[in-house]
Amino acid sequence: MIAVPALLASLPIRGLQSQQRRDVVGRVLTIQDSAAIAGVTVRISELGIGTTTDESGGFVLLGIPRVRQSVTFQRIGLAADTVWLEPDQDTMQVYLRSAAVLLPAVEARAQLQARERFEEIVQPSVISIDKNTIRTLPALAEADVVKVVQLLPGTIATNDYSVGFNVRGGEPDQNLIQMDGVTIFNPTHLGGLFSTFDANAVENVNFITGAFPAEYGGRLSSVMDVDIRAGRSDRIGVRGLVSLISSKLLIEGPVGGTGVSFLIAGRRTYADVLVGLITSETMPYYFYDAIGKLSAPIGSGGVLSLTGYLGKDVVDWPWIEERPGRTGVDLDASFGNRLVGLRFSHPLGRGEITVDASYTNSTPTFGLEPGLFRADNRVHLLAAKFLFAVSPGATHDVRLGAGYENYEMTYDVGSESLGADFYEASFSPRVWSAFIDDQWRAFPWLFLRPGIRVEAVEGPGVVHWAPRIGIKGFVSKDFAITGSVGRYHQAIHSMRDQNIPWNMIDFWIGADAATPVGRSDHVVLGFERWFGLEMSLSIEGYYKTFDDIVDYNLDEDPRIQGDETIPMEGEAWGVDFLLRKHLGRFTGWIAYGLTKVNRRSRGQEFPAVHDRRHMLNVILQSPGPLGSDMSIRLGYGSPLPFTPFVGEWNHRYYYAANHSLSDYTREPIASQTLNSARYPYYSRIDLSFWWEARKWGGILRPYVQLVNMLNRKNVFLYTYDYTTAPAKRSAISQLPLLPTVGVEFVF
Amino acid sequence: MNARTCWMLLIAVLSTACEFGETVIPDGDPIVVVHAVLRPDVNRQWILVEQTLTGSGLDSTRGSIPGNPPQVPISQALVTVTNITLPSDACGATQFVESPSDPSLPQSLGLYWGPLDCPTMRTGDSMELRVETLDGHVVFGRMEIPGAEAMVLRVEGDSTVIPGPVLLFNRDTDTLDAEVFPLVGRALQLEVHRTDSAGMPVAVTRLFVDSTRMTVPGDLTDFFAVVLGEEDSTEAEDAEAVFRAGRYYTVTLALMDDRYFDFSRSGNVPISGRGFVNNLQGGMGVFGGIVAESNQLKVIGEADDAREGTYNMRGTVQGTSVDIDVELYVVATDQDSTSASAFVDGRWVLGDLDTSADGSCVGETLSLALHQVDPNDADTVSALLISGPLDSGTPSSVDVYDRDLAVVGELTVTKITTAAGGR
Repeated sequence: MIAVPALLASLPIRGLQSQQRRDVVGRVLTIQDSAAIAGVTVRISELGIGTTTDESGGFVLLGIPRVRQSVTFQRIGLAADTVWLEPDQDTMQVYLRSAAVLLPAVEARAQLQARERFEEIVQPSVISIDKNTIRTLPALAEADVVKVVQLLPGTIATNDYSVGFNVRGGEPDQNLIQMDGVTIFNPTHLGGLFSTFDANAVENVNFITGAFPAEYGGRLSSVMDVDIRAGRSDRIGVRGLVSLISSKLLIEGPVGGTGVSFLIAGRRTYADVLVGLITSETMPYYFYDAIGKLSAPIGSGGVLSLTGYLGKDVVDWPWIEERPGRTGVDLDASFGNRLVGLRFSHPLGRGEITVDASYTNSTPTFGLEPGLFRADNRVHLLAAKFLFAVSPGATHDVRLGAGYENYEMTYDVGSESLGADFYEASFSPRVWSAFIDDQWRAFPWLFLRPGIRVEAVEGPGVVHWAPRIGIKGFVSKDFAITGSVGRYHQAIHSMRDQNIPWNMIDFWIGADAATPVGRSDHVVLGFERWFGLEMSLSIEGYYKTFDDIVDYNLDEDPRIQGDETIPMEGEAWGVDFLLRKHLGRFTGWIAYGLTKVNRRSRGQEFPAVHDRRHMLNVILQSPGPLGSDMSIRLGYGSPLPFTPFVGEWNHRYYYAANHSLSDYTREPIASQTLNSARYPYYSRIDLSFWWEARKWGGILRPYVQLVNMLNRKNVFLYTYDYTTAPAKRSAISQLPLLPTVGVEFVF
Repeated sequence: MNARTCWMLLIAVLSTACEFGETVIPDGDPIVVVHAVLRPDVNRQWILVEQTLTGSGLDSTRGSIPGNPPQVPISQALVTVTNITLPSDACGATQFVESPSDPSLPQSLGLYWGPLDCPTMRTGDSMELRVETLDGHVVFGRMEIPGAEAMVLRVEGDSTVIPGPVLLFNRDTDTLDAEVFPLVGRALQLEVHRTDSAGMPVAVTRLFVDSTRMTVPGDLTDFFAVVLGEEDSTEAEDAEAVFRAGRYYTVTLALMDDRYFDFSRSGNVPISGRGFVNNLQGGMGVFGGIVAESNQLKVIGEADDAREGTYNMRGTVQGTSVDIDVELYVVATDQDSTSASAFVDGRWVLGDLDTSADGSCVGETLSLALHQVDPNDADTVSALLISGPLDSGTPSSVDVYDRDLAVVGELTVTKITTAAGGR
């Protein structure tokens, strides 16, 4: 352990009299990578004073006499230690090591979080994924946060190309995806192959698959909260990754001796550059993103952090090249997100306040230039929220807060050359919200968590009350029955044709006089059982309703705003099973989901496109051959529904000049009965090997990954040919066997 | 986003995927397809009735324009159109038949013709379509007859209510401004046609907007030809400018009703098989209407090639004394060949001529195909090729060839003006 009192060297010495008292502010970090450690018990035994570190590793000890004191730091998985607190010392920065060889610190932290959640929090359906798990799970080219989430029970990705996912029968737009509490609208790159989250910058992912507490609102199905880690505060650190399609670099460190730390991470694909270097062809696509975070201690135990993100997919294709007598036509498209979030948290009495202010936007554009066609979509969200968490008594943990979200979604499609507007629309819902949530330990064996959330939505002019209650009953210290009931609302929707299995981006609209606020009721009942500290089992059954959700109206008239959607409703029920081994030589999980999802729309009742009855994912992380760390994923999904084609027709072009038809486009015709057929079952095995070597004062981690190592041909979609007799159908596969290599480095 | 573009990008992303597992599937469900676009400004209407492709092995019959090719024609259907606004319509419920009384009309299975000047169609009248096939399928549709007060073309300060005089249009500097003033109707469709070197009409492009006014820049590249159509689809590298200097073009403005607009703007997306906005009951297709007018454009351009200019060519061709002025425009397309077009005005082998012609300029050698119809006999045509060196300071001599490339005349070429274009 290393104590660093130097931080306070410049602070005035107020005297050494023992009767003088001081407030001591400190942080606890890992010695390996300066990551903040939450849940560390900080105790001065001789005074009987103690506290626990918060999410940022911070703690405050109030009213400590100005005499030399020994302070003990303890937490499962970490080597406990004691340091001296000198009389003139008001701050502490403490680095802890993982406990011997038994547990890597990150594993211990993950284990502790899961166990602590089990012991202390009434919230079913929540899973935490730590950065180590994210980093080492096999993925296409590089680790991906969302791809890991897709392997959890209750979560379905309808195909390999989708970053979108369906949680317990919900639609992809019903997932609240946040980066440090800031909503992100289109968290994808390359049409869904990659998510926007750089795994190197991620500290932790909390994923709530249902019945989330009153603190969360705005979505019907799930919350995925991605925490970006604070930068190292001891020294400059560099880490990065070079893979076949992209490279990324992360730099972090302290800002002088101010206590402020920074982290900045960037990534870019370079297929476009490589193709240009080695061939005469052009590759018109690339994406880049960058994440930045500044964290600063404020006052006594407060933290001020600023998170920013910038990402963009760019298509710049000289589609029709310019030549004498012909003006060229460039296809320009970009899909990007930008966000900035400011968070201030500070102890206040027996509680803590947190204030968030954020701005996020997503700006997909598509154009044929110069001026031939342009489609611009702008989604802006200005949000502010306030949270006060307080423990008024030994048995109550109260959280209350309020929020404001100002959405602005605009669409502008037209042609400057033709002097024409094709579609213009704007949606501006504003959501005011307030909530209160109390976790009440009524008995040592019974926890209750009542809460209520109210949301007033300007635009449609409605006020919705959303009561929620959770319950946890401990049968033993390792076995608890959990349950939760709640109502949820959603004021924004994504316009997507459910029968298109692949969406590059979501096109968002907001509730107004014509578009309703979606509503869902959740009922969850299950249990969680721990087997020692290493393994846990949870089984949860759920039932969800979906009311006033929307489907894209294919017949919409571009001149009419308000006919973009048609009403849809439905239900989902299922059972999620998660057996997870958190620690030890072998870690991983077995996730199984049984789901039934139906929808009603257009006078029909039909299975949803994500009505996958059975989904099984087995994740195993263990030592591998040649000194490697190995991760393997086995996935199985029962058949998904789709709407088959029943024929083709020649959609002819009419020419007025000669009153005749000329030329045509042959178009398929889908069955009027939605989702009446099913694809074959899905299965995939992925494998990755990681090695670690110390080199040049740092760590190199080369890796090999095999996606779909058995090269199974999972059906992505069917193509049809009804021009022949008999008619024929062919399948387009999802990802084939894709080996990738790369190397990660840490300095 | 444009659905077709999404589809293209999807294909790019799916380049890692592969196609596999071709299997035979049962026949699809047959659906009656109707293409019926009523034209109150045309005295005879037609309706195409066919069936979707289902893999049933029915032979598709190639028919005549309009409606080429019928996919699976539905013959012997009972096809009627009724003016429901005008119960006293002298035409009554107008029956359309596959065998019209006028033998000059194109005939084909599935192509149904109405009688002359029937049904009665006044602006704003509601029309009802009923198609009953032999096997009992019934298709209904309704539409409202569009009508326009006027259609106007404007070019840089010059404008005309069409049909009107030829408009001069500089493709390098001008923008065509088209507007219809509707009485009843939704949106504007604009078509550009020209005649090729053999005198045959060629559709250049078809554009539409969801308003009654649109502009067309003179240098517009016809990117629609790349993304639309299967029969006449164009590779991106072969896409051409809509307008080329040295040519006459016919611009047609059409006012579309709602039904035809829906039919034009929508289509089933290849990946989902959905997206077409169908306003027919019991079948699919269109029962809509438009009114249209046409006008000629004389397209010129800025002079940017030394060979451009107006040349006088006079001499004897096929025993006839000829004297023409050729206003030549050169379009450099690549290093090996240079396309050229020209307005040709004067006395030619079959009489007076005022037309445009296409050809090439390789170096100083001009080749120009001239097509002329006898003004007194439409069946008599002259198709000749002028080829030889241009006047590059001193008058030159060029030969004239017939279809068999036999020399049939000689012309003396004198450059009159050194620069074409402008007004």
